Amino acid sequence: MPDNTRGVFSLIIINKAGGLIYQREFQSGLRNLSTNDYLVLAGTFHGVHAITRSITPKIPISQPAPSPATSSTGITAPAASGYSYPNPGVPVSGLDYLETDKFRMTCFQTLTGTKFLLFTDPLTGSVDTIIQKIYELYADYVMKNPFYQIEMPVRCEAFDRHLGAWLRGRT
Amino acid sequence: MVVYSFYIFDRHAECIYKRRWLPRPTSTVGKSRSDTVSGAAPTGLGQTVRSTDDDSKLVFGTVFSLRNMVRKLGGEDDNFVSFTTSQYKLHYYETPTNTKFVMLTDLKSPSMRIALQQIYINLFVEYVVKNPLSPTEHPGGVGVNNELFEESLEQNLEVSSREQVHVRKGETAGSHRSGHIEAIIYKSGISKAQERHSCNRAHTAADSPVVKHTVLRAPACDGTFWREKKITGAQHRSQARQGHPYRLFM
Repeated sequence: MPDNTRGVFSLIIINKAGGLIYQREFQSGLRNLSTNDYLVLAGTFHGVHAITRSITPKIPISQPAPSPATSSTGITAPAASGYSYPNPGVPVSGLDYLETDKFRMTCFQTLTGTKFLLFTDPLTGSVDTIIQKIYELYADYVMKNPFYQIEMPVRCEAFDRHLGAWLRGRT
Repeated sequence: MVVYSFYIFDRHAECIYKRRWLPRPTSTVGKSRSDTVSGAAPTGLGQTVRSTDDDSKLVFGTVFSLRNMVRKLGGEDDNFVSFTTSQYKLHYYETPTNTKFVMLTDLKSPSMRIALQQIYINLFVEYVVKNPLSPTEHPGGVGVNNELFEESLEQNLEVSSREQVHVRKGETAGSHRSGHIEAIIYKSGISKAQERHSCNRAHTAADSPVVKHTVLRAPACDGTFWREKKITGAQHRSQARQGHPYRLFM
């Protein structure tokens, strides 16, 4: 039975203000932290996520400023707004995947800013599928719960039940 | 693979070396040069210099927080290797003495852990730590920004092949036409190869644009004195083609 959930260690949901609203461990593999430590971790990650987005390399566009290219300093002066990102077609995101020796963390940020952090084994495949399904379950059983207060900790029995069942049944 | 920037932080959380390569916006690799903004060289670009300075602090804050987070979750012997966003990939390597090597590359790059380790072992230790004139601490990057380290780093990181070759203004092939140019190349600090290039020979197409003319200061192998020799860009490249032991990537 534990073989079916192989690979998924735990799930954390962080609201758009950086507060921890859900934390659940599916399988041991990571060290156990106290609730306080998880709150700190969620807040830290929220900040780091924003910083990783802001340190995205900016590639200067040379076309709008051809004249300073041969300036006396020998350095092309990029126009004030003349830069592009490495993958221009893709919106700039913060940290998506974090790889370490022992685990792999996948972050999925919804359009409203809620972040889902999934800790998996480094060898687990199709993490994106798992996280999409978790988002779907969250939308169905948390957001549609009339008693759930938005931005508050998730205490929805149906969400817990379906999440556990789906991860167990996943092959 | 494109390398955007490279940072070294010492154990006091200070950035002792930073270097950014700004690739050209289009993907075509041509003869046009790209800009190299190094932390040591003052440039006239207030915006760029400020943003590199701030970037290094932000990068340090990021890797420091993530490293602590990873150690908390995965145990003390776990360490984080890299992270990916939709735009770039950050590689991280930390030595036992808490020197941190960080590199930002594009998404297509493979794991650079070995490469960063090689930079530490083959370049940082050889050219910075073993340098008798280098201080043990590097406040403000003193001792790290020596020519030998920078040249080797640049050679090894073949940043998108020819893109990072920077042409110095006013230096043309003509200035090296006459006479002999000697190059003393130290390999791993043990063996040295002395090359004599007669510049009277016919220049091949690859060799003709001599773009680099730098002075290498290297400790002599017997450790007694310092030699200054000039090495040209063409020799750099011919050396790279002959399989320089430090070269990591094509």
